[in-house]
Amino acid sequence: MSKTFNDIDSLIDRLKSVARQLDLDEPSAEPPAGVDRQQMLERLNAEPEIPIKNPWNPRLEELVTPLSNDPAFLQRSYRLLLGRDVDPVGLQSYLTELPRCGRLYVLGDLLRASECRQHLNNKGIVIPHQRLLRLPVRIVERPGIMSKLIRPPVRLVYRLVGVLMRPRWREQERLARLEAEQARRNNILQDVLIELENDLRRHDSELERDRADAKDQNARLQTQEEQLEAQQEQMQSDFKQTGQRINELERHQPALWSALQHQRRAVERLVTDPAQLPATPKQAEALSQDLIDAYYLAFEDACRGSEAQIAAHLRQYQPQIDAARQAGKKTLDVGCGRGEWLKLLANEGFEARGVDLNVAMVDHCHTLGFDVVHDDAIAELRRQPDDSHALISAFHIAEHLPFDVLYALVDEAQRVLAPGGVLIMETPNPENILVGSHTFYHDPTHLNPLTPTAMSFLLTYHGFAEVEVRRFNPYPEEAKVPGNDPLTERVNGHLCGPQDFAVVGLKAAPTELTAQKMTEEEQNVEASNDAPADDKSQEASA
Amino acid sequence: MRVLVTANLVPFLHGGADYHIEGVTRALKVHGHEAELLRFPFRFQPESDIHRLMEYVETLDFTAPNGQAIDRTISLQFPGYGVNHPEHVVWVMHQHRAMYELWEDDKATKEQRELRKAIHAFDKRHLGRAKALFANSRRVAERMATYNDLTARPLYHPPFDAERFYCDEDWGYVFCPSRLESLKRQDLLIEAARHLKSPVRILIAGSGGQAERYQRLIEKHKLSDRVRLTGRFSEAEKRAWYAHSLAVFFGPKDEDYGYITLEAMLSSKPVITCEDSGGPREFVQHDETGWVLPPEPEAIAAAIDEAYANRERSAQMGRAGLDAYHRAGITWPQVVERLLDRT
Repeated sequence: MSKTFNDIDSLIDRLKSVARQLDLDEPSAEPPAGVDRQQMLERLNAEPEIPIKNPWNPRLEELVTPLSNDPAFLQRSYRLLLGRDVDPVGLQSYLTELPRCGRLYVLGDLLRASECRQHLNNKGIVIPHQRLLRLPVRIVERPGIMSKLIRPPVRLVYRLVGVLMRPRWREQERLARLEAEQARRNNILQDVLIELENDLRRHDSELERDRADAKDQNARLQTQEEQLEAQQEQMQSDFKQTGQRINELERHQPALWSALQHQRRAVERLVTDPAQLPATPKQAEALSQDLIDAYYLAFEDACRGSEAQIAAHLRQYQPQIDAARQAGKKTLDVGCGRGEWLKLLANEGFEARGVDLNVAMVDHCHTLGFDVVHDDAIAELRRQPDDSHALISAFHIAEHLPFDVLYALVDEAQRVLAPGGVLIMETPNPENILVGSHTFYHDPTHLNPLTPTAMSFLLTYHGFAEVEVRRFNPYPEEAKVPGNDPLTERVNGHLCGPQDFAVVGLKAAPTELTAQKMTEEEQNVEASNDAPADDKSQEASA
Repeated sequence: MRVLVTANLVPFLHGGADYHIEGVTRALKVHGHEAELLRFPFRFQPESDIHRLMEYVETLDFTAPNGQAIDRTISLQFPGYGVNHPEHVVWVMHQHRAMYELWEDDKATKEQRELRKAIHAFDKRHLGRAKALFANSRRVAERMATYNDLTARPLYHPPFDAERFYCDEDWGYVFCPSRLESLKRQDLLIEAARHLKSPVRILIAGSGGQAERYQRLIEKHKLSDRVRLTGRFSEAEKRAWYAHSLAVFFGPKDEDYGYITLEAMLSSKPVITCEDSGGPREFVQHDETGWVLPPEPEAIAAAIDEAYANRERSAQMGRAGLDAYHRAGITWPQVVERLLDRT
């Protein structure tokens, strides 16, 4: 039953609320599958209405419709003849009349109504035997006794005609019904086929789409996997690099700490003696020297090898250590640095003493418990008596010194060493071209490379015996050019040969001259003790 | 297949054409084709703009622009069908209507006359040599036969979201969703309301230039209790309002195609339309799926009263409309198949 609304506004409000519900209820645009076919089935099973072939010119049997029941007959007649549904009053009265007068009479009765005539005129509908059907009814339904009297016989005639005609009409209607049913089924079948075809097409296109999607996804997955792998590799190498960086940073850290310490001392020194402010040029120089010392400590820390490597390297001097043992116990390491050599000597049972110009190095050695002085090497040597030491060493000092100082160093060492005592001077080896042209200059305080020949002559000139050149630290085998032909060996020799060499010598038998010299030197030492900074500009730090 | 679709773009003036243009492009893509949409900016004024655009499109060759071979070009609108392509299929949505069925000779300026001549020549030249010529509807094909002596086959396409329309209990009103424009003739329906004998209400949905005039008309005839302009509507509102209507009125003047007819049929509602409405007449069968009437308020009022008096019959006509829609085979797959047909 249809809803009624009091006014147009309530109708519109209601429609809007339906639409809102639709928005909520319809998440998907696709209808549920098979809805169309379900509708088809419903239509197939529906009771077919008996059709009228030509509504503008219906046949009599289509009007009487002997196969339908009375209400259906009435509804159909009303629609056709009056253009409207049967009203309850009409339905009731005709239903009671029908058994007495038959359908033909009812049709005649309807036809005589003015509503019917107007409708038929409007629509241009022609009913067969219209007048014949209408006229008798019109007469007998007139008010008056006459009409009342002849009404029953007329009704009977109508019924009789109806009864007589019924078999034929039935037959015809059955036929029409079959035809209509056939046509209707054809239509439905066509609809079903169209729907099926549409469904098939839709499925086909969906399948196609799914297939393409799957392909796309596969390709996407593959590239993602490749990307992931690449990322992983990148991460691993990043990790490795980070690890190396961390190691490096850890190695640099102590150097930075000690540089900081050193600078703090320099500042403290300035602050504790405010009288000295403003700084004299000399003090300023001292300060800048302190800063450079700190830099150098950091540089060494960054570039030196591991402790194990250094210890292994120093072990190679065992022959010299053994020789020195014959000449006594006292040793002096010039430019002792971090004290690796002192440590080795102490282990070997020597009295190990060191001298270094670098405050930071000296501090470091003190904390390790070594006997180290902060002073200029020449000054320290000059304080030592003649023939007093078994071993004097200078690792990587010579290349820092102007030649006059180097000369003095060798000269003083010769005086201080006891007969049979050993001098060791180690320095970068310029026979290796890469050292001579490149790595030597890493160190900003290096002056110039020294050759084995020059160093050998320097020792020989100062009267050292058994002067010998020892070469160390070649490039690792894997760095060499493969092959053993003369050219390759030469190339490998020049590019990958030992990076360091030492010149070693023994002090030959004593002479009388040295004793005289000593007393003069002692006086010089007193003088230089008063102003140690004076010499600094002359002498390089180690 | 690589398909280029050409159409126009009239900035910020959107309607059924946009749905049609995007619908074809989407359908082509859904069916696995590579489709690209090319839209020419279109201005109705001044005339020289249209001349220039016609000249411009004729210079374009899309056989293989930049070495990218295109298998087929589908043009939907004037003047896009002037571009060059050996496999050029034209599916005419409508021609430049102002120069054809909407031409008013007594009001035409000299420029308009010149433009009309140029457009007629342009259409004859390009539509005549299309590999296949389709029209949006039989009405559009008839116009081309009348004005250009060209034979085009009608090719129908479904309205937007066709599968979502549904039918529900009728709530005794006639629904009329359309842009409020003179050509859509909502005034016929408003005038008809004066002659109604039944208590049917009339809901006119949509917006447009004639809103004010229609509102004044409603007030003038004191029909506010019966007729209402409900304004813009959402898609859900449209579907709900169709679903509960008694019948749908759609009586435009010489419409090309008209989604409203199809939407009403999809909602199982009978359609009241007019003899001169164009597109709708191809779908509405008088007394079977609706009423085809002279464009007179009295006739429309009588049909509405009839629909109300025989509601059961009206519902039956609506269902017949749905069946007819299905029989007509209006689907995107069919459209794609016919547009890309090799023969």
